[in-house]
Amino acid sequence: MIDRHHRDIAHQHEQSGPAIEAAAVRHTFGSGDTARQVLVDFNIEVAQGEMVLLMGPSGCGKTTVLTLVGALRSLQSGFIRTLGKDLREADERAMIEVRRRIGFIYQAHNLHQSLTVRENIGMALEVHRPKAFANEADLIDAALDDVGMLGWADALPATLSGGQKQRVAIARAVVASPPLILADEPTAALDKANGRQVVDLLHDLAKRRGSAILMVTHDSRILDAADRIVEMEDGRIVNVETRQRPSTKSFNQSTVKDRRDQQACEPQQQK
Amino acid sequence: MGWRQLRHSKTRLIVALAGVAVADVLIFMQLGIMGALFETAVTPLRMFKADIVLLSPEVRELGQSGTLPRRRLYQALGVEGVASGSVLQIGAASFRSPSSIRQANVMVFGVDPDFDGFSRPEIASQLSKLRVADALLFDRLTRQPFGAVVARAEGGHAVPVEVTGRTVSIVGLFSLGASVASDGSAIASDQTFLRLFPRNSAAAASAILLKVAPGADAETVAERIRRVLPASDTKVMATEQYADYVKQFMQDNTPIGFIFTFGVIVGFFIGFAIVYQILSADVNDHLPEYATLKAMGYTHRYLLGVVFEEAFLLAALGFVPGILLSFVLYWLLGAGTELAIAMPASRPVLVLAMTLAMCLFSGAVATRRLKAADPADVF
Ligand SMILES: Nc1ncnc2c1ncn2[C@@H]1O[C@H](COP(=O)(O)OP(=O)(O)OP(=O)(O)O)[C@@H](O)[C@H]1O
Ligand SMILES: [Mg+2]
Repeated sequence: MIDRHHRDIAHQHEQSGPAIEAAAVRHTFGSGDTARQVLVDFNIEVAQGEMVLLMGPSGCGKTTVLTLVGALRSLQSGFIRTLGKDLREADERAMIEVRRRIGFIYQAHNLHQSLTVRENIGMALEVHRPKAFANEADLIDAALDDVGMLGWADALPATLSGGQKQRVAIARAVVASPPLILADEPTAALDKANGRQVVDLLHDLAKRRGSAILMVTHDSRILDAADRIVEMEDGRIVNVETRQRPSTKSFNQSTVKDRRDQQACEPQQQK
Repeated sequence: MGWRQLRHSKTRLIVALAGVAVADVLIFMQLGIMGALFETAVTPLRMFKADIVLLSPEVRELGQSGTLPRRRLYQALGVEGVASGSVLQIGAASFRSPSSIRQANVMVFGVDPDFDGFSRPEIASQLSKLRVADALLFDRLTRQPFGAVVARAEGGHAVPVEVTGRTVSIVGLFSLGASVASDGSAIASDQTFLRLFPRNSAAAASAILLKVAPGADAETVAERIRRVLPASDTKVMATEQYADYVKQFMQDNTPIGFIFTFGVIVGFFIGFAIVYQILSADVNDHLPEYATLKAMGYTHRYLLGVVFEEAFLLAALGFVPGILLSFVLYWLLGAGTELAIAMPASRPVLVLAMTLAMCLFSGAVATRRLKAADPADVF
């Protein structure tokens, strides 16, 4: 059995202040005649532990925002502070340090085909090592248990279904309890039931571990999970909607499995 | 990580290992055959017990020794540490078997019949037969068409052969073997030798063979002799040094050396090409995974490590079947031909180093593809 102690530590993330602050961010791809300005005066702030959905038409710059905030791409103009680190002055080394404290989830699962489920998750823990985890194996088991994949720890990704792979990818993103999770359309490749499950899982795990989430999605079925919904168009924010989430607490106390059943019965919430 | 990745695609791993092994076998065979051929060039030298050889500075190989003054022998005998010495005449001549019009190029060694410098009892015990004029001891392993001659001589007959227009008789046999430089060997008395090679003078020697006193170091004694004898007409070498010199000369001056060195290089590049193909295909296939690792905070250096680990593993794992197969082939080749292929201890080290270089070099080229793993492209 998994030690609940490992599982439910609400990690104290060191820095104070928001997980993400971005102001007046501009980004241009290409140069000269082919130059294309993708972000025009983009601003956002995501508080610690907050779940924010980023929505908007295709090509409006959502993924670009994630890559900039996640220190995967160099900042051209404007200001971004991620997890307390000012990315304007960040060199390659500092960017790597920032990445190590972020859990990334992609549309495709991007698991290592030659590594087992357990080893895939281990790769994420290893790079977060400085925090000195008491027991790596227990942490991996706890993360797998959280996503309902404990029985698959020694399977290779190729033997899993799409939904299972995405759940493993989530376990990989949350295993080190990162203060920030960046997700880009994690449900796009999944059917409705699986998509819903994945988002609920992510939401629940993030809340329990105190991680902030910035999630890009086109999926209107999952809006109810968010604390805030930010709508983009043509490289800037056009609408912000803060949602009431009254039952966060009871939500957290139920088990993942219970909640899945509940939600299957819940009527679809209106946007 | 590298190993897991290699193991994951079995076909690719097997192809890569087979490629490395084949390249290694190629290199081993080229080096083995080249080494064996050059070794034959100095086998006649192994008949003698000499520790030090005095030669003309114009010496090129065994059959082209040039000459030095015979009196250098007496001067050398006066040097401390030299125990005994004798004059050796060397010449190459065409031998014709009476039963055939084909000729063989035979290396003839002329010695004093009292000479005690042969290391083989088979030869030493027959030297007295050479006191008869125009008598020869003949190498029974001489290349065809001397089979019939040898067969008759084995029966104890004196067999006539024609050497540069003279008829001489074979009065005894010994075993040495053909070489890259000649089809076989013969031993004559110095008198007979001078009749066969009238242009050689009795006052000159092709080589002077010296034995050092028990316990004396050949190289030290050679150095002492060098100080006494004029470098203008005498070159002083320890026997092994001379053997290496001849082999190096053959390697540098015959097409054999070029052909086999070229073969080694070809083997190297075959291995390089195969390993490069495999590694770069592997990097390509894993680009999204590598980009994901970068996004997780793994450094570029870590990924280089993965590729180099794969390269290193391919080298190490491919070398083992390569060297085993080469041993088998050396043995088969040795059994099937007169060419005894030895595996000097330095050769596996050399080939292993080449294999590592081959794989790491291909790994290094393959890592150029890694730059395409951009963590911003994973989304
Ligand atoms: N590496 C790149 N080089 C050049 N142009 C790019 C690059 N990445 C994105 N773009 C362009 O920038 C614009 C915004 O791309 P981005 O991926 O941020 O959009 P998105 O909002 O995520 O769209 P989608 O919903 O389709 O994923 C697009 O027009 C795209 O063509
Ligand atoms: Mg996108």
